[in-house]
Amino acid sequence: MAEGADWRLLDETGSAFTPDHLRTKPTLVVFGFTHCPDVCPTSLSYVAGTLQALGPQAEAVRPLFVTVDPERDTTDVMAEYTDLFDPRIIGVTGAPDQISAALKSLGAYSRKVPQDDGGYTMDHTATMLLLDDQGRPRSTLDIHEKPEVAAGKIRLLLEKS
Amino acid sequence: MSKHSVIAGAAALVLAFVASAHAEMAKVGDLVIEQAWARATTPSAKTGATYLSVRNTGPESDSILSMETPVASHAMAHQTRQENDVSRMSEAGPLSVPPGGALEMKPGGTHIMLMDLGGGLRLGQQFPLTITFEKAGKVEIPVKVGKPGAMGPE
Ligand SMILES: [Cu+2]
Repeated sequence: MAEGADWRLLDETGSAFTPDHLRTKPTLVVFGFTHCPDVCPTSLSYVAGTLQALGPQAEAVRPLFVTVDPERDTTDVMAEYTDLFDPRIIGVTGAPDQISAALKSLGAYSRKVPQDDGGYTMDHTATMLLLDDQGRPRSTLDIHEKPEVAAGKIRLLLEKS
Repeated sequence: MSKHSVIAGAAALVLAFVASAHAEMAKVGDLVIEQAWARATTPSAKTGATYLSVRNTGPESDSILSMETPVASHAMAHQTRQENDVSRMSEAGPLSVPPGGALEMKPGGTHIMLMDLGGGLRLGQQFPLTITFEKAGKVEIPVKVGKPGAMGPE
């Protein structure tokens, strides 16, 4: 997260979620959207597997799912969707301009792509980011590695912070 | 009967049962459609993904013209590509199955995108999918719904 990041989002319960929240404990960030049935469920179940591999240490990290599609992903939709994988995963949405600001400060990309049927889909950053307790990106998770490897990366970060 | 052969017999029975539970396949012409599965979604979800494989035992290539299912308004072939760190999903062109070859769908690649789901997909549910092939014609296959993050048929 860039210095001076300024945005205000909503977590899945409707409470404010701001850059300050990223300065309390390490965060695992996944970007996606709930109308994405192929890639996003794979990422979120990987996060769920990682939390499981962490055991009680999972409490020390915040698993975050940030939508790139705030138009369709309301707080309720985000809550329902993230619970499908692990109730500990926190869905975050917000006003489109605030989402854009947050994505930019986290170095993530998204683009709306219209479909022939009048609907749309979203291209988006698929990398899962691991932020330290100051919100700074420290590492990325790779879906092709076992969740135990991801848990190892998180443990390493927890030891340092 | 020795203790071992009892165990072996029981194991064979279990295997036979498992095999039959997984033998959800359909044949039409020279094509064999198998391992059709989908991921469970939330009850309000509008989209879902289905995966299957088609084997072509014949001498000519064939391709999918259209797909239909009562659980969604539209079913179409989609392709996910990962370019650098960006994941992009788009409509796949006509899906063809080469002679003696196969068409395999899996997460992160080709999938059947269900759009405008009526009431989501529940774990354990089974629904029919009708595929129309250019040459072989129509065939209906049952699709089994697995876990929300399943990576293959269960
Ligand atoms: Cu799709």
